[in-house]
Amino acid sequence: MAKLEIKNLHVGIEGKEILKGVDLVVNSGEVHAIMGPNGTGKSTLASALMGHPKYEVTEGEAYLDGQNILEMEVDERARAGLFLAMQYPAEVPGVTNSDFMRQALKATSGKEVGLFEFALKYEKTVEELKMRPDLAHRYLNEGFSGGERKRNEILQLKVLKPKFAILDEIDSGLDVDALKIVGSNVSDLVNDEFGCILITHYQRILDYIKPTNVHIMIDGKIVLSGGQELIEKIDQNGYEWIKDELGIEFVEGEE
Amino acid sequence: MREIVIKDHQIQSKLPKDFLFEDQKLIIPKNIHYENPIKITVQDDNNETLEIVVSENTSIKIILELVSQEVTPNHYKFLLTAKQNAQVKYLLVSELSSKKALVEHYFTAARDAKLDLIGGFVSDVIDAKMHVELQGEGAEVKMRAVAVSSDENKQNIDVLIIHQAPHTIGDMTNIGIANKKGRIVLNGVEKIEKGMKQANAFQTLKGIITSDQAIVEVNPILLIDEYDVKAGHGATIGKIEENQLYYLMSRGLTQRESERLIINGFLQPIIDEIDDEPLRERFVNLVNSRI
Repeated sequence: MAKLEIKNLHVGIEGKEILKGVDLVVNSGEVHAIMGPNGTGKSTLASALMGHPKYEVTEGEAYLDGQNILEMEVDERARAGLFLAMQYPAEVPGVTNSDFMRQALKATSGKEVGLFEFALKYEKTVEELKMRPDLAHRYLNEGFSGGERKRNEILQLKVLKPKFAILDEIDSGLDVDALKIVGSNVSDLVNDEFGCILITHYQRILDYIKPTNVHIMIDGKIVLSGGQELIEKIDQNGYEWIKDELGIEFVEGEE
Repeated sequence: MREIVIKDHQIQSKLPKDFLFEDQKLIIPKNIHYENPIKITVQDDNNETLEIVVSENTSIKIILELVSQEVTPNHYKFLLTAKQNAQVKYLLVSELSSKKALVEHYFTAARDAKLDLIGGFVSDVIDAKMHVELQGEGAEVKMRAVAVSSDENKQNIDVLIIHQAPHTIGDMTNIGIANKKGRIVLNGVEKIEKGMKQANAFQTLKGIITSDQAIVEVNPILLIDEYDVKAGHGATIGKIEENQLYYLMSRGLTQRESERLIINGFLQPIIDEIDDEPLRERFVNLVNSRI
């Protein structure tokens, strides 16, 4: 069992406050969907937890199994068991996917990784995600289509096996077939050792990954938490009803 | 792979069939497609001039290994001529310990000749000139040079491509990577002379510093005296991209490991061309000892 605990998290970017006090507890075995209109801070939460240098935590705490991750460097957070599937992963020319992944696996597992054993495992995962068989030898995300990049993020997740993964809009830009593949691969990962935060503003992905908890984030705060019934409500009515129900005002912004 | 070792202006090994060597001039026969690369090693000579002539219609890959532990001033001069329709891939690996080295290259390409030139500079203090004259119509050159500098190294890399005939193509991509107090000046100059219609000139220069004290200067220059041409150039300079670093670190690699991986990535296109296993390994190790 592992636990990710976020307490009263405030995060700003270039002096502007985006997250205004987020509280969230995720246990392994759980899938938490964070939904909400554009520009409410969902991706900021993801980036701040991973430690993107652009985001500044001004208040609050975040613990992974009791360790304060906000005091750690980005790589230390990864080695502690946190993973972020990014919305826009970087291209790194000249670095092959397999060289990178083997080194990353060695770093996160703390163990030597045999070349042959790794290659077998990597190729199997490539097949499971129905990616091009030459992926191992291609340069990291260079010349990848949007869908290939997203799948490559999930592939990395499967190889590295972290305790917690945050999937930041992994569904945007995916066609239905790719969505199914990504969805079923992520679903299969969820067990007693692994938990997941799914950030999305579409509902489609949630047909393939069933969340245990659903949160609605508006204007930098989680305003409503519940189960799958919230998804249906958003599906039918959008986010407007929340204004009336909770008596809060907001405008949809740009992400 | 065939190897030719040159020391004190003399060939130390047996020459491949039909090769000629006289008066510091190596002539490679015409009409032959060489499947395997030829490695030429210039050994601990502080002062060497060598001319290589690749005869008509021949295609060949030449790896020139320039290695010397000597710290005294060095001066090397290489001339390479690609005759009509010859195709030459030329890879230079320079590891000179000299505190004052001058390495000059003069390439000429005749009609329809194609030059693919790759330079890897990991010397200490070096002035390198890579001058190309596209003399014949339809001649092409693709130039890639990478310099890696560290400690107190100072490297000046001058790349010049002159279009002296119409329908010529010149394309250069030069990268300088400086660490610690390393210093690199990259000059990329491409010149299209009057009347050389439909010539193409492209330049990309990139400077990367991995410490606050390192200096890279890039100077992209296009001198064009003709209207009917295509030309473009770009230069960037800076630290390793923050997003790339963040991405690799988010998978558990330390900052140092991430930087190394990214820099090795820049060099990969050159490393891939070094067919000689021990040379490739040495090059990679040397580069990594500097970053």
